[in-house]
Amino acid sequence: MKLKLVAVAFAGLALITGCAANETTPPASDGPETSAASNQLSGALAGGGASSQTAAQEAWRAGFQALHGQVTINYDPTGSGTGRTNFADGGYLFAGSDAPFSVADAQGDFAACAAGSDLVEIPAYISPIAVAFNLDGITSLDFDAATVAAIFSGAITTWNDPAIAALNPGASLPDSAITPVHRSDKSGTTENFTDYLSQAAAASWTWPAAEEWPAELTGEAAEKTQGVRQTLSTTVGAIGYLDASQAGELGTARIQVGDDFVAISAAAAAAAVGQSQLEAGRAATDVVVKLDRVPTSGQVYPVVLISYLVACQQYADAAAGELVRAFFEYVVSPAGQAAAASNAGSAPLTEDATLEPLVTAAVAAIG
Amino acid sequence: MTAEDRRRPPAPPADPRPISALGRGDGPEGEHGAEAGQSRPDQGLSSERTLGLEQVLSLEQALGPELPSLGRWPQTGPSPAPGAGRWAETTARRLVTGAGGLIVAVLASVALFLLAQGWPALGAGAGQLPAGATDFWSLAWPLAFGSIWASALALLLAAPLATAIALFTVHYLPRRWRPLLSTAIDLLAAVPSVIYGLWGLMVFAPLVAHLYPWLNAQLGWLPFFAGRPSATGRTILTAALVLAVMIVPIIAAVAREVMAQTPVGSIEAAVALGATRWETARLAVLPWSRSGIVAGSMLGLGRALGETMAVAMVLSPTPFWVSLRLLESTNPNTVSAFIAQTFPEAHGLQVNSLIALGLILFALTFVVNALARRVARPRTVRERPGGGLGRRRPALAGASLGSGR
Repeated sequence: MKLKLVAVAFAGLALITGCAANETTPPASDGPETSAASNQLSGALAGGGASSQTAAQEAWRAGFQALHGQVTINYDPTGSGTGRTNFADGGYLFAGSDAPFSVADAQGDFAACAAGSDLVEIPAYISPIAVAFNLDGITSLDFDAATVAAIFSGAITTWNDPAIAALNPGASLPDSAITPVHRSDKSGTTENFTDYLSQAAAASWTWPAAEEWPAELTGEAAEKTQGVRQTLSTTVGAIGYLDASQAGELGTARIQVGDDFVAISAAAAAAAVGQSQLEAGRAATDVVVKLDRVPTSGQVYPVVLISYLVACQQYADAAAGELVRAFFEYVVSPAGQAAAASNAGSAPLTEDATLEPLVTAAVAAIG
Repeated sequence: MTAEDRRRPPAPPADPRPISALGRGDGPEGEHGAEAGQSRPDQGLSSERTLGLEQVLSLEQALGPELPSLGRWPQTGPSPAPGAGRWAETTARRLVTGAGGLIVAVLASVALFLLAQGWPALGAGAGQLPAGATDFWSLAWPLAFGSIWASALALLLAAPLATAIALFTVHYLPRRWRPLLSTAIDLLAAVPSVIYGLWGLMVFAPLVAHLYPWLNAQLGWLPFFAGRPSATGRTILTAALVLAVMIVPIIAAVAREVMAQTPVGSIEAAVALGATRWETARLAVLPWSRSGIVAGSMLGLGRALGETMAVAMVLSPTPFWVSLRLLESTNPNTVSAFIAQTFPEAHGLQVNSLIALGLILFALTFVVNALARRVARPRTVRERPGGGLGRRRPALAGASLGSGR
């Protein structure tokens, strides 16, 4: 049993260092440090928060524990708000959150952190949100933001509406009713989707970005990503938004950017983050992206969800800091991002040349 | 005096024995009847009344009325042997008293917990409540409406069906097939609600979704069926139908037990008058079991009110929504489903407000149970045919039980 574990750990390690060696940019200190620490790290690391990260966190836990068999990682998908609260109260050593702490809150006190410590926030999980639909024989449709907003606000009710037909001259659209499906629970997916609509279709979408679907808008509601997926796949004529990795056999929309229509891809999602600006007024370790939802050109898919990992720059308990740093280093490493990409369909952070060094530096500063 | 004494002994044969013996051949009622006969040797009532009374008493026992206080039992049973027997007697009494006290304590602690933890939420303002509510009552009342509306619909659908099932089992089905159907019904009652939820979501809702446009076209002039029918079928009517499927076995099981205790004398009397099978059911079985059916329905209603998983999985809810329309995508949520869906991500006062919602649900089910108790213990029971229709019988509850001893 023990022998087996050690063998797995070595195999995993060989894989990691092998991968890292192929990369051109990793910091020189990264490889040897990981291998040196691998036999010493032990303990339990409790975190929790955004449920959007659940699949990625599972991949990260499995990958990390293969490297460090003595470390136990628990990620409790309680939701972003609870995750931030518990992190601030010291219940979690790290948190996952679809929304970062506000600039003011980020300067507050956190129970697990050393006095005067900065906050570390890294966009660890970047995932495109699919606008998916169920129509017989149609796998792709082109939409602009105004049309998507009109469908989800109930202004457009049939598939052969002139607005949709104008964008899709070749498609044979049925005259059936559209059933828009939204999330009934609080969700980072809803927040990012409504954020996109409120920025890109400001004229027709008057509701602010929020984790809960606007209460004035009625219509079909389903619980969690799986509920949306289930409803979409059993209902012809339904349209909804969900994590791209869950879209499966459903038809997906190409979103208009400038004059082009951009299909979902990890690269296009990463590009949306890469083109965005960092939010000003934050510490160097507090890497918060201000997503630009209205790019004007390029292969950029603007309906993207960013989920952050939150930690202290300096922990009151040094051993905890070491654990968190090792875990975060794995998460942002090529291997960690690749594991999340294959398990959760996220866009690897490593594809973004501007963000990646910032994130790596922020993680290295954890102590 | 002597002449009278001599004339008395032959009187008992006019007592119920021969008639009630007919009834005792038939399942559980025999035991109850015998028990009641044994413990009540001093009854000085007419044969018809005694028979009816015994049956009602056994009905009372089946439905769990107040039992006489435990202290009285040793007087009628075999006297306990000194020493070990007495010890067993006291131990048993303490154990069962403890069990009885425990359930009261648990109930009280749940009520206290709900009150203490829910109280702060009543004054909560905007930003502190789930679903972006501005005050507690604007959140609570649509949910309470949803719970009551869905459960009432379910009961409306389930009660007639369950009564028909019970009547069929007891009155129409050949005796040897009865255990089979009874077992099937009892099995249905044991299916976990999450299974019903999955079935409702994946099979039933898409199925009935095909029916809703037709209902809408035919009955759209009724406010209930107006609006735009849902394409997914995840409406409050579907939820109510799934709830109905869940509570049918409960109502049917209770109704079946009560119907099985219909006095054979009543049935025979009806048959002797030339009643057909349906007329017998209408004249003898249904009047007899009315209170049992109602009590079973209230039990079912209680389950429907508290049901969480099936509703949470099937229904497409919208917060703050109150509507009587049955076929639309936009539906009111229920209290229990809302609590289950919101709790995992709730924090601070939101948790308190969910507990306060729990308190409302608790109160609702309490009211339903209280109603069920009232109905299950009728003030008057209709006489069976031939026994003087319209004559009213005094209350038969604990009071008369106690006075009989």
